[in-house]
Amino acid sequence: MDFQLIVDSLPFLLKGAVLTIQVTVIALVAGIVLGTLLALARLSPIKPLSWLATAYIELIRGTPLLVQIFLIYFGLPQVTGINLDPFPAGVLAFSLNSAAYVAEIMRSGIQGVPRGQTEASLSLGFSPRDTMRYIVLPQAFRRVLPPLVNESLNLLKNTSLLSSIALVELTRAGQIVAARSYKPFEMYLGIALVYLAMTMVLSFLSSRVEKRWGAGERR
Amino acid sequence: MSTADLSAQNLSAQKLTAGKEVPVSSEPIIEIQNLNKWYGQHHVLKDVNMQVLPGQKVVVVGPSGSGKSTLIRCINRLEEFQQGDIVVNGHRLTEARNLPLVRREVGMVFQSFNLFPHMSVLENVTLAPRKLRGLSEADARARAAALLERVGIAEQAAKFPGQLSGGQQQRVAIARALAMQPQVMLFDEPTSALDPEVVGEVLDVMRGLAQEGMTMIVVTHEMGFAREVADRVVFMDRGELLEDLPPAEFFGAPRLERTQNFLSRVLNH
Repeated sequence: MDFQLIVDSLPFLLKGAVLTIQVTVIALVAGIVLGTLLALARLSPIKPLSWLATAYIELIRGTPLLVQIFLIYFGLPQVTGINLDPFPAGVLAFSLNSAAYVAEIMRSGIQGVPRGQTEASLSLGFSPRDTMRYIVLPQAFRRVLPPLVNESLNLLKNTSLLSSIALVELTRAGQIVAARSYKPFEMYLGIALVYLAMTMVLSFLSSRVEKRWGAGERR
Repeated sequence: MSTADLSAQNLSAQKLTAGKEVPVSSEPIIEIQNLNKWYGQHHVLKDVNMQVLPGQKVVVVGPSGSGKSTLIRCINRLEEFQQGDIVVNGHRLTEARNLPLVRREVGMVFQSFNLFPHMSVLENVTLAPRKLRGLSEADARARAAALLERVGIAEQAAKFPGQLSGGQQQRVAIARALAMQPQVMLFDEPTSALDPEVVGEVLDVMRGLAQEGMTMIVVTHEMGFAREVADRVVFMDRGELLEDLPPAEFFGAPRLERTQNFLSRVLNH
């Protein structure tokens, strides 16, 4: 066992980890924004809009993420002539993918806010749109924090799939070192630990937020 | 029509004898005309007609499922209705563009309080005046502070609804509705979800509001409150508005057998 290898290659691995974090953060923010819009579209009384959102969500959830990545990285240039570098292609694929999952999370969160909240807001004179903005969505976000954290953990770990389109994120970085050193066990154990460290930080941060948001809301 | 005229007379008489004159205009502030509502096949409101004059306190009673909550929820159109019309302060509810206008003038207090749990008490009371009446943060806070003082919970302003008792929450809900300075207040069984020992504190706030001349429509099972505060008691059963009488007559000499049966059930338990 050569654990010195992990230590020696750590700077290289951490460079990859930075890319992993970048893809995760950008895709998560985009996913939450797009996903919330998709959830609102799906709950909309305008039927075609609702159908369109449902179709998109089913399409994304029903196909493998790796295939979606390949479609964007290899397939898009063929039909549009636009060549995307691995990084923007990866960010795009993960944003579109996480939007669908976040949409379903947000939909259940919005539907979980009691009807009385909407009625109280309408009775004060707020429009349906302002009711969504000031009353329903802020409560929905608090409710969906745990499943949203779950989605971000999945997102973070799934970015390892981007190693397949030659983006030197954490997993790809590990593969390179493993191939050079012929020490795959140490190397993959090493990158597993780096992933674990990142997910633990994320879990810790989210539990802090949850506590703070929950503080005023004891029922 | 005749009952409304009668009770209007009765009201002015009462106010004069009480030694304080509340200006009573003869123009109704709420006019419900031939209101019909169905849930599927179920006819929940049957040809309901009612007028409320400014300053009047109308208490609506009746067995559960009689349509009394549905009726007052139609007044700010939280419930849709299929036939008839409601005119509030000159605005027809069937014209969709009037709806936000009407809702700003009609405050509502719910059985389950429905305070916004993600906001402090102060934010609950300041949100609507800031966003809908264009009040500055400072003005909205001053108005909220005065209202919270009036409902007796000024010291709880920084707390969240979940930290308050039911009675306190309902008083905040009343303050929240009053912060819009509505012309009419609707109360939908405001004390039904409360522990018995805190019912009194909410009724006291409502009594105070009545004394100040607020136009109120109250759905309640509190017969003592109806007897004491109401100008008119309206009795509903199975979607029909059956009686509309001054409390002394309603409790003393109800006309219909259904009313008598209802009263004997609620008064002798």
